[in-house]
Amino acid sequence: MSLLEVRDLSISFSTSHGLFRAVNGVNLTIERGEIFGLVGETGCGKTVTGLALMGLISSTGRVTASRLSLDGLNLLSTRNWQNVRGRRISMIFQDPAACLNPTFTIGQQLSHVIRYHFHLDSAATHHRAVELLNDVGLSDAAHTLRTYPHQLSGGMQQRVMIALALASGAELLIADEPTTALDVTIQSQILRLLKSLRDKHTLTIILITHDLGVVAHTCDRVAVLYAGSVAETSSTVDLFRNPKHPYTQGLLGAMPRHGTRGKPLLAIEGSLPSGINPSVGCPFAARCPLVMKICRTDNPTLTPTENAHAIACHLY
Amino acid sequence: MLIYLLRRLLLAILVIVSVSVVTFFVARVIPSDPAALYAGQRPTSDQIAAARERLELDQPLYNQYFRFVRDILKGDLGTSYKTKHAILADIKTFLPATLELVIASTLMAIIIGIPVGVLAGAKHGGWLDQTTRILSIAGVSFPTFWLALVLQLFFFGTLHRLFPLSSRISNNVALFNSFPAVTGFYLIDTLLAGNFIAWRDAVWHIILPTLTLATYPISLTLRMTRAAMVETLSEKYITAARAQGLPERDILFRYALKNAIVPTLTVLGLSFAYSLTGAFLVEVIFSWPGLGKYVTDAIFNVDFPVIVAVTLIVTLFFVSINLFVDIIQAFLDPRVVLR
Ligand SMILES: Nc1ncnc2c1ncn2[C@@H]1O[C@H](COP(=O)(O)OP(=O)(O)OP(=O)(O)O)[C@@H](O)[C@H]1O
Ligand SMILES: [Mg+2]
Repeated sequence: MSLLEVRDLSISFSTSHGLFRAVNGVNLTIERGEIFGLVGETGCGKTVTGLALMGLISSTGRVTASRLSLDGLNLLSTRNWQNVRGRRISMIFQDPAACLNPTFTIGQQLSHVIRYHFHLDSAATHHRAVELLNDVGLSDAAHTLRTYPHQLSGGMQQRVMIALALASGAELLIADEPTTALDVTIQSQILRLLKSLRDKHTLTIILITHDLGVVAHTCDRVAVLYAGSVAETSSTVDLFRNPKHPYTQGLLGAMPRHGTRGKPLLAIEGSLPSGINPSVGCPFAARCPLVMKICRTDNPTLTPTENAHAIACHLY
Repeated sequence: MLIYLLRRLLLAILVIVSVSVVTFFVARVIPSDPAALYAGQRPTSDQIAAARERLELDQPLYNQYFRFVRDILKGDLGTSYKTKHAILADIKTFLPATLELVIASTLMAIIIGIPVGVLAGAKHGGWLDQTTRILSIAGVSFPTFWLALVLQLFFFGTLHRLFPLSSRISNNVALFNSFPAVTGFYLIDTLLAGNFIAWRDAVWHIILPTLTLATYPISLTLRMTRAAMVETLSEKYITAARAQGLPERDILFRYALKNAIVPTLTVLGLSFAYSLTGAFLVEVIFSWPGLGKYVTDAIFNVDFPVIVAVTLIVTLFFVSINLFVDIIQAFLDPRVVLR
């Protein structure tokens, strides 16, 4: 059984301009122990998808789905998210400096989480905190425990965030653009850390990013989101070798790669459709170079082809 | 940290000296004749002249000031023109009464204002938020004297003398269950003496004036805490803490409150210092023998030494409380650097 199954996940927010559809029928299947990439341009609903899996959508939002199951546990009927958050699923975010409580030391924050989830005594809690910091590559744990977040570098802060996310014993980590705010060198260190945690601790990771380079480097499988729904999903290798959806092809064309030096990068013309009054038909139709008549009237569903590759496009 | 404290101490001394200069000279230049007051009722001009000499009011102003400062450094705050009492002794009896009242009302503001503010901020727009919004607006707008009278009417009248109307302790308790004055705080002195009858009586007496005095700081504390909580709860570290599975109780009262409480503390510090003399209306209405009543009488009598001395005492409190609040702030938020 897959670790996580998401069917027809929709998320909408009531705003002063009307109902805003942030996510429209997303389907995802995540296997145990994989790093699954969730890619898409800004505003396509990556973060809210992650938040919805933890019941963290704000009260103005509404989440619906036909199936939302974590290892057999039906998240749709979850009343007590306290048993899911941290315990089963953890999440880290883009801006580690803002995600750490500025008024508590790293040690205090780690031990709050450890103690709440595992009811350890203070010696065991300390021991576990040191262990977690070592796991995320912070070797001078004794010192780090005593520091406040603002005394650490961005890369160290993100490592601490990862330690905090693991402290509660989660099996699924949602990493929402964990490297976007960091230097390039630090970025690849953090990505390597995530990979090694997956290998050592059989962690499953959903890696949210808008950077296809990060996906190529880190992910086993990937889903490309467009305007709140999945345009294409496949293994990473397959996606890069054989992109099918015109949007994915556009994205790859917009990515600098070896051998393309000197040639202009292609941009996708136009912008995301409005979430308030979505048009009928394929959300990408207005920007699609290969648009057909049917695209303007019918919204394509995600259809599997060979090699566990699925595409939501009338071309296939 | 040490350098910071030294600098603050110097600054405090500077503030106190300036306040003393200003009050002293203002007291001297306004048109009224202290010597005439000192000389008693219907004095002859000879008596007034004698008083003037005695009080050294015929000396140059700066001489008077230096004499005044020298006396203070010797621990002598001077004598009242009106009652001829040593002012320091007076303050020793009146200050604890006021402090007891002000501390009690500040504690009330902390105990009620902060937790309710946290809960109102946690569900802003909810029923608790709406109700407390109306109550707090009422709380800061009701005039003190009106509130005091309504409380008296309700608790003494409607509820058949549930709480007494005036003074710190009942006469018969003071007579038959007397207790030694150690701290000047009746609630503490009675406990120290193991005198529970007197303690209960003192508690009963302090409730209504405390409630009156606390209404404003409770309302202010509640709204400040609520506003800061709303802001803090939208911070990313709160979402992150939720994602780590921490329970809502810890998130509100530990993670968020520690970040949200700083403006509230500043307000509490200010309202504490303000109440030291601002309590005088409450003290008058409840016949509470405190500093406010003492200084009000002094103002009516143009009793300058008393006015100046009380001003200095209050300044001293103001400066110390400010320093205290700053230190707590630095203690709560490691990013605050004391410089
Ligand atoms: N609480 C909310 N109320 C109203 N709209 C919201 C809310 N949260 C998110 N949205 C909207 O939902 C859409 C999707 O947001 P989301 O944060 O998931 O985008 P994203 O794909 O993570 O983008 P980015 O790459 O910028 O992080 C956005 O248009 C955003 O404005
Ligand atoms: Mg996002």
